[in-house]
Amino acid sequence: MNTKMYLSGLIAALMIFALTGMKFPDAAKQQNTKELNMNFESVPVGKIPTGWKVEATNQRGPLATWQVTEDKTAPSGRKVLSLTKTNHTSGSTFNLCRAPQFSFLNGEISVMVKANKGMEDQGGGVIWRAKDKSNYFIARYNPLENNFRIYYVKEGARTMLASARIAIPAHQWFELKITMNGDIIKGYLNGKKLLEVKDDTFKDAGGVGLWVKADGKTSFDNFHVVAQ
Amino acid sequence: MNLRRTNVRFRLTLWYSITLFIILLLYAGITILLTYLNLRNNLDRQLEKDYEVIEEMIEIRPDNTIGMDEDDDSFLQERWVEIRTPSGKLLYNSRPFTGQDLPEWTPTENMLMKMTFTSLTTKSHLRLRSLIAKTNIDGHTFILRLFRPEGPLFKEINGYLLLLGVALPLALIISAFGGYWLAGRLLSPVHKMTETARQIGANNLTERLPVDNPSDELGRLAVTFNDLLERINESFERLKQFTYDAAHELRTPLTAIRSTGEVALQKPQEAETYREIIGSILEENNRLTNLVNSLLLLSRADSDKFILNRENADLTELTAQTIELIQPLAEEKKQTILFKKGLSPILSTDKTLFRQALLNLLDNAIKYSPENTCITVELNKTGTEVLIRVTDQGDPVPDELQKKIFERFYRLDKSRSRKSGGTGLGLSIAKWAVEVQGGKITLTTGNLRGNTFIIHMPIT
Repeated sequence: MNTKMYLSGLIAALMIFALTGMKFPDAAKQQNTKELNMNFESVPVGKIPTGWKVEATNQRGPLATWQVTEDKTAPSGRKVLSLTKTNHTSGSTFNLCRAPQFSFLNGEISVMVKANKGMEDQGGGVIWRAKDKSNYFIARYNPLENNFRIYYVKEGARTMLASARIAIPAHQWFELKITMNGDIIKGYLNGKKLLEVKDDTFKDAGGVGLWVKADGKTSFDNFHVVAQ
Repeated sequence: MNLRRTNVRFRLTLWYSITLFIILLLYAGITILLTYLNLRNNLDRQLEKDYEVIEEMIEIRPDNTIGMDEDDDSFLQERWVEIRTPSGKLLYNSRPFTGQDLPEWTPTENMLMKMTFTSLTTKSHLRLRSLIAKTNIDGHTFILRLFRPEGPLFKEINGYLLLLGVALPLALIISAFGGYWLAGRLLSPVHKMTETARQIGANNLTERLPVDNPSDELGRLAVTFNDLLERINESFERLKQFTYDAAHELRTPLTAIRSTGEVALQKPQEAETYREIIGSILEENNRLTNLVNSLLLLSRADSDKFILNRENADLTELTAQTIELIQPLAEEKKQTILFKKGLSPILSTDKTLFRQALLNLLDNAIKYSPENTCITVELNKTGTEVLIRVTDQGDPVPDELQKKIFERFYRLDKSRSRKSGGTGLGLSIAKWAVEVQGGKITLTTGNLRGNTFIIHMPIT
C-alpha cells in the first residue's frame, strides 16, 4: 500500500508541475559567470600577471613601468601590483595595465587601491568594457582632489559621468568597486555607494584593467572581477 | 520666363549660378552648424570645469546648510550656480542669479541619472546653457545646476552669419559675371560658326566653318559640319554637271530635228528627199528616246527603290544571247565578236540588268574599235566570282581617265561618240547594273591597243 501510495503521489505531483509550467528555482537562476581573482601573490616580483598588457591612452613618451612588488601592508598578503615609474611627464596620459582577454559586460569589479605618490595626480581605479587602449569606462579615486568619479574615454577623450566628493587620506588602502548592469553603473568606495549613473556609450563587452593618470604612482591588490 | 527661349549663354550662367548658390548655401549651413556644435561643446566643457571647481567649494555646515564663500572667491561672482536637494528644493544660488528669472524646474529621475546639458531661455529672453548633475558631497546628495550664457556663442555665430550674408551674395555676383563671361568665350566659336553657316548658300558651297581647335567638342562639330558641306558640295556639283550634260545631250538631237524640219519647209522637195528628212528626224528621235530611257533608268537607280529580280541564270547562255542581240551593230563595222566559253556557271542574277551591263560594254567596244577588228568575250569562273571579259581593239583609255569614263555623260572623244549615237551614259549604267548586284567592273588596258572591261559577279 505504501509503495503504491508513494508512486501515485509522485505521479500526481509531476503532473501538477507539468500543468502549471513551473520551473525549478535553481535552474532558473543559473547563469554563466566568469571570475577573475588576482591577489598577485603567485606573480614573481618585477613581473605583471601573464596575459596582462601595459598600455597608455594618449601616450606621449615611453610606457609606464607596472610590476608586482612586495608590500608589507598588502591586504592580500605580501605582494601588490604597482605603477612604480611613469617614464614620461605627460599630464594627459592615462597609464593602463589591463587583461584584454577577459570579457566583461555586466557584473562587479572591485580592487584595493593605495595612492603612493604624484604631484599632478594621485590614486587610480579600474577600467571595464575596454574596446582598446582608447575606449573604455573608468571609475577612479583621486586623493589630491578628494573625489571619486566615473568617466568614459572615447577615442582618448575623457568625459565625466558622475562625481562624488569624499576625503580618503593618501598612503592608505581603500576599496573601490563598481557594478555594471546594462547601462546602469554604480560606484562604491569602502563599501559605500556614492555614485549611480546611466550611460550606454559602450554597449559591448570588453576587457578590464587598472588605471592611473599622469604622474600618479599607485598600488593595487585583490583585483576581483565577476562577469555575468 | 520660358527658359527654352533664352540663349544658351544665359541658361548656362543661370544653371551655374543656381548650382553655386545651392553649394554655397549648403556649405554655409554645414559650417554654421559645425561651428555652433563646436562652440556649444566648448561651453559644455567650461561648465564641466565649473562643476569641478564648485564641487570642491561646497561647504556643508554642521546644521546641514550649504556654505559658499562668495566674497573670498571671485569665481562665484562670475558664475551662476544653483544647489538643490534631490527632491528639487533650492538650497543655494549664487549672486549673479539675483534678478534672473529662470523658468520653473523640477528634477526627474532620468535627468539625474547622468550629467545633462540643456539650453534654456529665461523669461527675460536670456539664452543659457546649463549643466545638471547629481553629486555626492561627503555623503550628502545634491543636485547642482550650473549656467553659462549662450550670448557669446550666438554673437560669434551672428558674426559669422553676417560675414556669410555679405560674402555669399558677393561671391554669387562675381561668379555669375565670371560665368557669363566664360560662357561667352566658350560659345564664341558657335557664334562664328552660326554666322558663317548663315552665309553659306548654293552659290558658295565651298565656304567652310572656322575651326579654332579641332580637338575640342566645338572643333569636332565644325569639322563634321565641314565634311557634310564637302559632300553636299560634291553632290551639288555632280547634279549641276548632270543637268548641264543632260540638257546639252537633249538639245543636240532637238536642234538637229528642228534644223532638218526647217530645211524641209524652205521649199518644196522631192518625195525621196522628204523620206530622207523624215528618216533623219526619226533617227534623232530614236537617239532622244534612248537618252530619255537611260535617264529614266538612272533616275530609278538613284531613287534607291529599285527592286532586283534575281533568278538562277546560265551565264554562258545569257552572254551568247546578248552577243547575238548586238551582232548586227558589229557587222555594220565588219567586226567579229569572238565568244570564248569557259565553264558554264549558273548564277543568281537579275537577267535584265546583266544583259544591260554586257550590252553596254559590247556597244562601247564596237563604237571604239576600228573596222575589221575582233572583239573578244571571255567567260571564266574563280572560287568566289564569275568574270566576263570584254576586250576591244580601241585606243587604250589613259590611266588617269579610267575612273572618269564611268561618270555620267563623260566621253573620251565627244564628237565621235555623239556621231556614233552614244548617250554618254552606257558605262555609267553598266557600272550601276553590276554594282547593284554586289559585283564590280574593272578596266585593264593594253600597251598599244585594246581595253578589257571585266565584270566581276560574286557567286552567292
